Amino acid sequence: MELRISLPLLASIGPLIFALWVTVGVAGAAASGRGRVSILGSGSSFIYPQMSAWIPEFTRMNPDVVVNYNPTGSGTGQKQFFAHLVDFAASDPPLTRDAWLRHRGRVIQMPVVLGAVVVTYNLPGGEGLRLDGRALALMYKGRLRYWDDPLMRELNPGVELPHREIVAVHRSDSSGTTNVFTFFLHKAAPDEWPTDLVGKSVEWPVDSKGNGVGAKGNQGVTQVIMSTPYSIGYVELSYALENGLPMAKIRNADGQFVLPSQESIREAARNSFPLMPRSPLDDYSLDLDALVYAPGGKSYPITSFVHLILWTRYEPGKAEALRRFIRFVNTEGQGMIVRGYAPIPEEIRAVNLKAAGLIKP
Amino acid sequence: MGSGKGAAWSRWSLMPKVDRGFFLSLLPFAAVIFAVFALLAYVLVEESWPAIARFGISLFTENVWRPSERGVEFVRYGLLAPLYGTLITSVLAAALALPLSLSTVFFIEEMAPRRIRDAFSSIIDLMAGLPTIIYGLWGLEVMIPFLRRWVMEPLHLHLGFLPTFSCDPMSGASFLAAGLLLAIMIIPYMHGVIKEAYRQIPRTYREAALSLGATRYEYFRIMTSLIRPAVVAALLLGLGRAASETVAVALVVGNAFNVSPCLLAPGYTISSLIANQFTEASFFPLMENVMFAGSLVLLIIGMVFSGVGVIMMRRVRRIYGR
Repeated sequence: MELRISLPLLASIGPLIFALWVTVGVAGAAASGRGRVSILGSGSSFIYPQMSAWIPEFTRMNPDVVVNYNPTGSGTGQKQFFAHLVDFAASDPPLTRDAWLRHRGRVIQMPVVLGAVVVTYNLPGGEGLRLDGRALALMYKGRLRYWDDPLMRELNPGVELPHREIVAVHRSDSSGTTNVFTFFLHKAAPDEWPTDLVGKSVEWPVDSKGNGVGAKGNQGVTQVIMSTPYSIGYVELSYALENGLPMAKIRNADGQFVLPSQESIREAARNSFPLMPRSPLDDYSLDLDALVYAPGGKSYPITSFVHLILWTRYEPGKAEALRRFIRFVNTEGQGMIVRGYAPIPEEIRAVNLKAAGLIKP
Repeated sequence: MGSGKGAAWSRWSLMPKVDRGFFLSLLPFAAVIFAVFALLAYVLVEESWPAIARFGISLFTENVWRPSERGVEFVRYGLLAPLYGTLITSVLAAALALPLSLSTVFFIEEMAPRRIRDAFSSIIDLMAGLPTIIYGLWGLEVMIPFLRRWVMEPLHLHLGFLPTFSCDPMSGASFLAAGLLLAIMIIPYMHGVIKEAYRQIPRTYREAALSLGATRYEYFRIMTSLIRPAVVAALLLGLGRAASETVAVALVVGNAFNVSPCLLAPGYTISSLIANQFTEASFFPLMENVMFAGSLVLLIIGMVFSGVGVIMMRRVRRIYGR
C-alpha cells in the first residue's frame, strides 16, 4: 500500500507552524512586561523541583521581579555563570578551590537546600536492610557477590537473605548523585574504595565482573531496580519516595544505622557546621567532605548540599532583586521545602543571610 | 570512462538553454548535501585526533573508562567494551532479523491472501516509522522481563555449559536483549530491501519454476537464490542501522563496561555510550574526543557496510532491472 502525502499540504503546514511560533513568542514577550527586573539562573537539575516551588511564591511576593531557572546540570550552570550568560547558578558541588581562588572576593556561595542519596534494593522476601560503606564498596567492586555473604548476615541478623547474586545498579551518565555516593564509599571504607573511584562518572569495578548495570538518570536506575529482583542501587531520596522503593539503613560515622529522613539529613548538616565556612565569600570546596559521613548518632551519612553561586556586583535593579531572593530563600523559602529535600539548619541560614549585605550595585 | 564523460558532455551540449539553467540551479543543493557530509567526516577526524594521539591504538584495544575532572594526566580511556558490544549486538540483530525478513517477504508476497498481504505490508511500513524511544521503553518494560523469565533463564539452565550462556541472566539487560530489540527494529528495513528485489524477479522465471512442478518450498529456494545479492545488501544495511541505534539500545543493553563472551551479560555500545555520557562530557578532559573517536569508527564501519550494500543492490538491478 502506498502512503500518499500531498506536497502542497506539507508545504503549507511549515509556514503555519512558523507563524504560530512567532505569535506565541511575541505574545510571551508582551506578557513578560516592561519595567520589571528579570533574573536568570541555570544549573542543578536536582534542585529544579524546589526552584519550581520557590519561584512562583517569590514572584507573588515581589511582582516587580521575574525569575527564570533553567535546569541545565550543575557543570553547565557554572560554565554559563562564569560566561555571564546567567545571573546566578545553582550547583550540587561547590566551586573547586581553583575556581574559587580565581574569583576570590567577587563570588558568593551558599548551600540552600539539603538532599540525600538513598540505597534502594529489590530483595524478594527481604525488608529492612542494613548496610555500611564497606559492604556497599565491596558490592560495587564485585567482591561481595551474594546476598547471603557472611558480611551481609552479620549486618542483618534476622533478615532472610537468599543465595542469589547481587546486581549492582549505577548511573550510566555523569551525575552529582554518583559523586556523593562514591565520596561516601571512600570516606566510610577508604581501604576498599580509593579516591580514584570518586567522581561524577567513574569506572565501576563491578562492571567487568558482569554484575554491574548502568542506567541513565535517577528514573532509569529506579526502573531497573523495580524490574530486577535481587538488585541494589542508589537514587536521590525524592525518587525513592515517589516510587515507594525500600530504603536501606546506612551505618554512620558513629556506628548507628540510620534511615534517610528530613530529621536525619538536617542532623548531618547541623553536625557538619563546625567545619563549614563562616562567610559566603569563603571557600566551600570542602563542605561535602564535612557533610558526607558527618559525626553524630542521628546523622544520615549520604547527604549533600545544593549551592547557589552569585556575584557580589550587579547592576542596581538586579542587585536589589537578588538580595531579596537570597533573603526569601533563607527565610520563608526554608518553610516550603518539597518532598525529598530537607531545609538547611538555622546556623547555616544565618551565614547565608550575610550574603544579602555583600551584594552591591 | 571516456565514453561516459563524452556522454555527459553531449547531454550538456544538447540541453536546451532553459534546462541548462535548471541544471545549474539544482547544482548547489546537491553540492550542499555532499559538503555537509564531508564537513561531518572532517570534524569527526579533527575532534577525535587528540584522543587517538594520546592513547594510540590502546584506545581501541583496551577496556578502561577512567574519567577524572582533576586533569588530563589522571584520565584513561579504552573503547574495547563498547566496540565489542556494538559488534556483537549488531551481528546478533542482523542474524536474527534476516531469516525473519526473508520468510515474511515470501509469506506476504506468495502465500497470504491479498487483504492480509496489504495489512501486513502497512504494519511493517509503520514499524519502520515508529520513534526508537518507543521500542526502547517497550524493550525495557515488556521484552526484558519476559525474555529473562522465558528465554534467558532456560537457556542458562539447559545450555549453561556453552560460554555464550554461561552467566546468570541477572537483570535481563544484556547483549542478547539489545540484539533482539535491534532485530525487531531493523526488520522493516531489511524487509523493504528484500521485497523490492523480490518483486523485480521476472514473471517468466516464476512461471518456469512452477511449470516444472516445483513445490512451494523448492520455489522459495529458487526465488531466494535469485535475489541473493539483495539479501546480502539487506544484511549489510541492517548491520549498519543496528550499529548506529542509540536510545533504544541504551535502555536495554545494561550500560556496563564489560567484555564477555556471555550473551546474557550486560554490555555497552558506542552509540549508547554517547547517548549516556555526551551531555556532561565536556567537563572531563579528553572524554569528548574519545567519543568522537568512537563515532569515527562507527562512521567508517557504516560507510563500508552501506557501500558494499549499495554495490550489491546495483548488481540486483543490473540483473533484473528493466
